Amino acid sequence: PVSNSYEMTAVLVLWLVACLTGTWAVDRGNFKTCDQSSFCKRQRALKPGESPYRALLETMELTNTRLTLQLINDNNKVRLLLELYRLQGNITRVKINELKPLKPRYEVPDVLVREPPTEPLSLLSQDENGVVLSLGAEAQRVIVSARPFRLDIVEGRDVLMSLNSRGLLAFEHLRMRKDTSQTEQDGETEDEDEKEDGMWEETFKSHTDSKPNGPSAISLDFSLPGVEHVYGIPEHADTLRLKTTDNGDPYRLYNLDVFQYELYNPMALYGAVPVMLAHSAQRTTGIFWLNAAETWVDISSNTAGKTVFGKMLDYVQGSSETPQTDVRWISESGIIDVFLMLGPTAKDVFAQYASLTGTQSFPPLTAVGYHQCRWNYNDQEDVKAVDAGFDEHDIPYDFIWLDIEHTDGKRYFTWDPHKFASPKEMLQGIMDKKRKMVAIVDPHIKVDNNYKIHNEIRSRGYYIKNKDGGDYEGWCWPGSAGYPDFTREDMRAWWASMFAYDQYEGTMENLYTWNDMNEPSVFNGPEVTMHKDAMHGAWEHRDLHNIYGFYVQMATAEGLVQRSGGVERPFVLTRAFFAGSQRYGAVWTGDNAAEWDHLKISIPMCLSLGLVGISFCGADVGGFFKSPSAELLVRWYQTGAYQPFFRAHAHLDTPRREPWLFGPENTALIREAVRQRYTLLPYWYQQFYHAHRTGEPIMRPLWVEYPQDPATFALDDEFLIGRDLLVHPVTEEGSRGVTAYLPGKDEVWFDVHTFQKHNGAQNLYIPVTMSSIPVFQRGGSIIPRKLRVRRSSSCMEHDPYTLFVALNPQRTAEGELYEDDGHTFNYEKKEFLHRRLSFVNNALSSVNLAPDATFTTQSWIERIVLLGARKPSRVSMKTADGPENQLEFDYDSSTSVLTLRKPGMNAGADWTVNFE
Amino acid sequence: VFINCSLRRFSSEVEKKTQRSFSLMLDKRFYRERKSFLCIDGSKIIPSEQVNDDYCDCEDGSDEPGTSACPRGRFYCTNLGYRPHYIPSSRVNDGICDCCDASDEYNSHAHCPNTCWNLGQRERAYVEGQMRTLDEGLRLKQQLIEEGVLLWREKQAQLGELQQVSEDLQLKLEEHRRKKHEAERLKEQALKALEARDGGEGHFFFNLLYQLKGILNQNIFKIFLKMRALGLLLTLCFGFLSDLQKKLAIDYGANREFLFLNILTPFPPDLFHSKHIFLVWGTWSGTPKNQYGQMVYENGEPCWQGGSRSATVTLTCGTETALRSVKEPSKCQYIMDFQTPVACQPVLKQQGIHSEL
Repeated sequence: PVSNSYEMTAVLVLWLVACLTGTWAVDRGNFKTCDQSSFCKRQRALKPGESPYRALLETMELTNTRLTLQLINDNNKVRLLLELYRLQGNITRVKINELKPLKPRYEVPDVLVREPPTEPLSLLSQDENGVVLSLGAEAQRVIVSARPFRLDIVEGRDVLMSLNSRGLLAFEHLRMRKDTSQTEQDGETEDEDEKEDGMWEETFKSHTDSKPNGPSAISLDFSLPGVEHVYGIPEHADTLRLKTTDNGDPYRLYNLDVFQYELYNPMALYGAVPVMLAHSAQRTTGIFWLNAAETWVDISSNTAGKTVFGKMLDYVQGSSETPQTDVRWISESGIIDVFLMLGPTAKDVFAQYASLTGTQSFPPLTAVGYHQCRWNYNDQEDVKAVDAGFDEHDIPYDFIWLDIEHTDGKRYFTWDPHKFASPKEMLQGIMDKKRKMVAIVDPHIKVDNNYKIHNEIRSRGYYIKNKDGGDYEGWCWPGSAGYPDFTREDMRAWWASMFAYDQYEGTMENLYTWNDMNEPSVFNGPEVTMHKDAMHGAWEHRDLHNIYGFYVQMATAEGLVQRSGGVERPFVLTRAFFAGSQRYGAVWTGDNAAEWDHLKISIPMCLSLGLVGISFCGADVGGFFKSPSAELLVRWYQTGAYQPFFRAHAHLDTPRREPWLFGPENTALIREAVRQRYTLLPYWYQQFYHAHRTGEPIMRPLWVEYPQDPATFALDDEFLIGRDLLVHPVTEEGSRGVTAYLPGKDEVWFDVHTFQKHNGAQNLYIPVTMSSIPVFQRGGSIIPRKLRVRRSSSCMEHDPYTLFVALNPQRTAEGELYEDDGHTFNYEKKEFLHRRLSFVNNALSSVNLAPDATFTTQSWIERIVLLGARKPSRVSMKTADGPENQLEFDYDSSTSVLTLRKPGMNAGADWTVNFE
Repeated sequence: VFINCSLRRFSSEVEKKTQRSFSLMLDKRFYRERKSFLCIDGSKIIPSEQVNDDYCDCEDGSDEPGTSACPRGRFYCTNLGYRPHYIPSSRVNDGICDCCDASDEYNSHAHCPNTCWNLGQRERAYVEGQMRTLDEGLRLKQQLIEEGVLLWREKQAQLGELQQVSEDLQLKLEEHRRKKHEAERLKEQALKALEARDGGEGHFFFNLLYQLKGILNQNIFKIFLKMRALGLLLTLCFGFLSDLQKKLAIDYGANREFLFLNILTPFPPDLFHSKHIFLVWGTWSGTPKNQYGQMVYENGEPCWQGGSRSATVTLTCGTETALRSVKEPSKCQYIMDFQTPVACQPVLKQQGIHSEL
């Protein structure tokens, strides 16, 4: 009863917030603008072209691995230390810190997968104005200019990137507070600074941020000549292509639990990845700003606002200046530690970023299936009924989810003793259907002396502390809650151990975990999050806010790995994230709403995440808040079925919306969308494997594959899955048709439903009905599917494949087939099969891509479908150890589709099929 | 029926494909020639070796009744000893036991025991129990119908009484109104007459006038009090009357068997964890076949964050009248299971679940 009243209070607060704003939308007033964030305001007020920083060339030291150089601020004589590294794989790292900070400044740990290996730098020339260094083999040089300090990275005659070219480098050095310290070390005057408000204390709404360390902001500008398109820096509910911010706030990176977020603006959301990609037809580069404090990013462009006509006029008159995008990063504390990923292609940038922060974790195959979630499935009986509903309506699903109400009074790691009295029995029932479950575990821990988890964390001293040294307490779902300090390694190890089957009672191996509210969300905190002056050991929350959620997911995923003795792959969904979060599981776009615009925005939001390494992304299908119309729900299933993380979810206050509740027609439409997902699971899984190996996004913007086609640069209503499938979901209400851009001048695309062939480099109008999901397979690709859709992905494990071979105009095609046990780490021990399928010279063959790997499969090839084929007179197959035998086939001349009947070879075998 | 029989025959054969197709070969109507098979939808003729060969040839899935090859196919569980039924082909050899005779998992790792006999026994026991319940329920229902007739008469009598009482009251009220009017007139006349004599008589006359005025007023006041009492009684009476009329206007079923249910407020007060939640009777919402199988309550107590509470109550046959379960699958939308003899339907008995088993 106590917890109920707590919860009611908490919910009431939210409700009041919603009521006071008078609309169903975010209350902007709850969140800071740049003007209300004192460091952002101070930094943004700096004028370009007045850099006080000068490089002291005489301090330069060049060793085999790094260059160091002091910079001096001529206004206050404070010195900075610049370190420059050339990293393997065409990356340059620039670190700037105070030469002698009053106390250490925070440097973000645990995000880089290793200390990045360096390459030698060499001095090319030097005079009193600067230094020129060679950046290794790519004919790249870095030019260090002394006065004012500036770095230019040059390749051949092209400037790739310039740092401090606009003179906005700023470093608020740590200092003693005037009224408390008598000794001013270098006797300089800082009157001007001290006039500024908010340097030593800042108040927002009713919250006061004591700033015992004073101002500590950092800032740096980057110029990107030749660039008109920049992407990344998620999470924002905005277009794929980032907008210029001259006329509004900068894009903000500060993990926040935003209630009913608004679309198309630069406000911060649940996660932050400080990585930006810059693209032009010539080159793709990236900037990785490794800083976990509150960060704002300004973008301006010399071509922004110019009309196409204006640009043409410039071109004709020859008066055009080179297009250029200028970017400026501002963070509240920490140091400047920036990785310049120099491409030159998008895939190089993905590889470069992956070499720094790792790749997408390889999920268990089942996690790539469909997930059914709701706040909340009320009790075990409810779970059983929903599970049975899927069978009754013959809709496959893999995971059913339990939100916070499954716990005993929002005490995570426990079960409600009445509603979920026998969780193992429930889990066994789900396991009998070869399905899984996810239960939520949030990082806020109910303050309750009868709660084991709380007592342990408190007695071990693992809670985050408030500024006065006591355990920090805030309000969240359970009422008063403590927040474990996940930045501590010992705390994370302890947390992971809590997932052991004997610790987390009532759990079995088919129970996985969901980390929500890990921004962290603090209902009564400033901007619904933690006070910045809360303490993590020696560090302020201010220094590391954006990485908290990353650590929560890290510790949880580790727990799931450990409970299986290191055998099983984990699956953990998180709402908050940071650079590197891709290593630990999936993310979703948080608490969206059942609105058409929210369906639309799911595409650019997941595309942006994919570009910065986080491939396993999805949005709540149907929308979290509010209730979708049947049409919106169907369209959302159709879209979600083609996005990496496919989960339906709904708010507690909304009516039920399981797929069969909208009449037989809509049930059939949803069933069909989910079935399409399941037939493509082999392709999806292969994409995950590829993402895990390379860091390339699974769901990717067209420009990644067609980097020289400007028509693709801003597209965000369609996308590619891997290289070979193009999806243009229907996201408009009452749509009669969509116009999809099919890229590639010499390419063809096949409609996957009708097998109709379309030429590339055109805008194709596609009439649609409610059952249409416009999807195209690229000519030149081979996609394996499993057409026997069953209750869950595990049920399809041994099923045969159908290969869809789409021929390009050169009559060739290529694809892959990947398979492993689907759930363990044994693939790391080379237990998988990986085949290259290729069609060339009228022969389709399968060769082993990983001869040193072993895996035996029961799956066989039941059918081969050639799109864009000619009618053969004879088709024969040859396996390594068998005789040549003839295959039956069927040719449809109206669609040019050739279907080979039951070739029957094992999916792991070497074989060739000849077409004569 | 014919198709069902033949499909049942080959899918019940679990040993070998050849046997499955062999059994099919006995059915000549599937063949144009000895060696071919016509898809049931007539779309295609295939060689007989391709029947149940784990590759889908027919659009309608008819060539693979024993495998999982066809996306829209069906597999027939013979389930000897229990109820035969179809499952989607996708459940054949998926490692999950679906048919109680284990026939769907003839080529998988799943070890499926034959549970048909047990299930059948349980089902038979259950059905027998149901039958007993039904018999008893129907008997009780008949009683309730008979009681309902009495109750209806009683209510009608009550209605008549109330109407009579209200008419009486109205008459009396009217009578008193008249009396009051009369008394007031009398008083006015008397007073006028006395006032006309106003003058020399002095004190004596004044006293007389005063006393008369008092007597007349008292009389009027008495009548007024009586009228008030009558008015109150009448209001009460109208209240009862309209309540009763409302109740009697409800559809209580063909034989007024639901009369005893108190449909307007059937829920125990502690139903919602002692929260006071009012639900307003809506309508019967059963199927055309069983119109009184479900009821809907709407426009209940407003729900926090908008909307109002509603409940869908399913009535099931039982020997007692009791609320069996209350669920709230979505917020403020209740689903209740209400058991009562009056929901028992003799039709059920005629379906003959017995004979199938």
